[in-house]
Amino acid sequence: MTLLSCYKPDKTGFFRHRRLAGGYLVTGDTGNFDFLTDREFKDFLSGCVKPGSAVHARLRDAGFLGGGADVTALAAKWRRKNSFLFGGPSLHIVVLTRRCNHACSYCQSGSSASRSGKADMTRPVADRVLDTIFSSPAPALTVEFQGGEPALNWPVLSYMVAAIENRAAKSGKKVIISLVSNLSVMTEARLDFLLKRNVRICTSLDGPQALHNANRPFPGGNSHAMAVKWLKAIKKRTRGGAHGDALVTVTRAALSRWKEMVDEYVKLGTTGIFIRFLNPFGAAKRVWASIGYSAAEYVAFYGKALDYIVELNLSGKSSIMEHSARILLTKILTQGDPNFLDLRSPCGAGIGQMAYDYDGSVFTCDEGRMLAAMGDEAFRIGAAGPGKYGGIMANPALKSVVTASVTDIQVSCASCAYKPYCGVCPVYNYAEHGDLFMHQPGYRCAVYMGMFDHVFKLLRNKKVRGLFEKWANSKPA
Amino acid sequence: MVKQERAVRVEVDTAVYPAEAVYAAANTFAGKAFVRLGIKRKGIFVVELGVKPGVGAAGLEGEFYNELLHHALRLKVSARHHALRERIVAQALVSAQLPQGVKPAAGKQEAVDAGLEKEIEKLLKEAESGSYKTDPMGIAVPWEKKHARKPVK
Ligand code: SF4
Ligand code: SF4
Repeated sequence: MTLLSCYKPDKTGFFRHRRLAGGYLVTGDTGNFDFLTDREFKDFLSGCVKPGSAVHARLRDAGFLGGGADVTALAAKWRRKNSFLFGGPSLHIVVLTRRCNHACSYCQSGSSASRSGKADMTRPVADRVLDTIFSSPAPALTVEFQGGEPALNWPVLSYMVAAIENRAAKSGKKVIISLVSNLSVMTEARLDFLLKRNVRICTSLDGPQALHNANRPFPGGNSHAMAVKWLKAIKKRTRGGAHGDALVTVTRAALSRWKEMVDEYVKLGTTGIFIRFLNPFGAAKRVWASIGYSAAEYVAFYGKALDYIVELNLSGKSSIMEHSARILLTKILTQGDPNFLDLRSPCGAGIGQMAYDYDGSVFTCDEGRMLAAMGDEAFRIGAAGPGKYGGIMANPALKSVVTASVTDIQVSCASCAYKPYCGVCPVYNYAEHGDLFMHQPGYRCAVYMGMFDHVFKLLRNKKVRGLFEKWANSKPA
Repeated sequence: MVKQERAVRVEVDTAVYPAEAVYAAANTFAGKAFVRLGIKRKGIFVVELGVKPGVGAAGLEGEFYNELLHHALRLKVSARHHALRERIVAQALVSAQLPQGVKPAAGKQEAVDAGLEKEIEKLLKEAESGSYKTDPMGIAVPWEKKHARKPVK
């Protein structure tokens, strides 16, 4: 009997399925999931799972069996999982300058050499940006300073940090401030200023010195040495480095060096490592032949790196956590949302985040801004300033991006087992295929599908599941 | 089935697999092959899979039929549960607009339930006709307007 002919619609609840590791993974709309053998899957479809058996209990508890769905409970779960829809944009990315003193191979931010101050945000523009940020109805905000190298515009950076404190106190909003910096112009006094105001600092550390410096050339300086020096200083001055974080951007040169990369972070004593793939669009596209890789190559690399991190944890050698996996696991194993705006449906563009260029132009997200830096302003949704928020939110480009990022209406996602946890990116789709909707074959989809496959395979192991539960329920530093 | 060097030709009977499953399977295969759909005669699709470089043609026919089967199953599951799933999302959206954690006064629960039911029906009708409310959760309303203090008289 084929799967189709044995299926008894009344006997099951809604499910999606995927062949995985010699059996089936079934998932549901609220993120519920189970692994079934071929036999169990057929029994499930035909309503022949024995009541009283362990499989029956599992499927019943996960809501996969037919009959008597508790609509109110399921609606409450759905609401909780999608609570990000109801608050307004909470992440605000502010480009303080397009200037940078590095020349990273994969840079997409449209940065320019560091001498001219023409591409710096001015104080009047900063005030206008803050007007729009504080107009968001979200009760909790994150303001993230980016560049170029944002610390090259220190006068406006320090001005904005103080202004945010004032505005937060007046409005009663909770605000987290974060600085994404290569740390090359950090000083003791600046670090003091930032840490006193609880500013979170995030930098790039692409692995061991040779690899990092090849990816991130710093004319006249040693990028790796600066990043390591200040990460250590932050760690020393805060509890376990709670205000200092680093992430890895994986280039072709790193694919065979997953072990060294992880070891570098373990040596530094960071609580986590955030491994991220390159997006093949914008400026990275121009150098793709030398730094890029296929989705399959990245997935193979990521699998090895994650396996190694898991092994370090299970053997007690380190308690380092991988943040991409943590994000996926929070979505898979908990009813919460990890606040990662690119894996949502609809995605975070405009309704979860906004990006502000140095001149006060507002974009759906930082990726939309990066595209503008390459000359395409498709994702520009307005200019910051008092009374501008309503107009920005009503911008047709924003509405189009929101609509185009709903996974239910993407041909491939609608039936994909990973839909409850995944998201699509209209900026990527537009840059890659000239269409806001996802086309197949898609690089980004193939990467996430491979990462989900690997994480779900690992979840079948009891010990790993215990570790992953811990990661899923942890709060990032 | 006719096999050529780098192409595979599959015929699909729509009495067995719905047309939507053929389209979905063709979409899934777009990574491995250049897919061309045609009609041989009423009820029979012809699917031509032009194998992409680096992909082997062996086993492609079987893989395509497997994919068809899974998509046909997905369509059946989806059709069976469509209304219920829509209702769950509508209830979640409507209830998100109500103040959370406020318990209705004694004897008022039925009135609240009836009101909720009416709103859910309204939302489902709006969804069907495409006439959505523009900003039911007020996320486009600026903070200062939402939290403006009423002037003291
Ligand atoms: S993007 Fe790909 S992996 Fe994610 S839900 Fe869609 S089809 Fe599945
Ligand atoms: S459009 Fe893409 S980059 Fe922008 S928020 Fe959505 S998923 Fe993220």
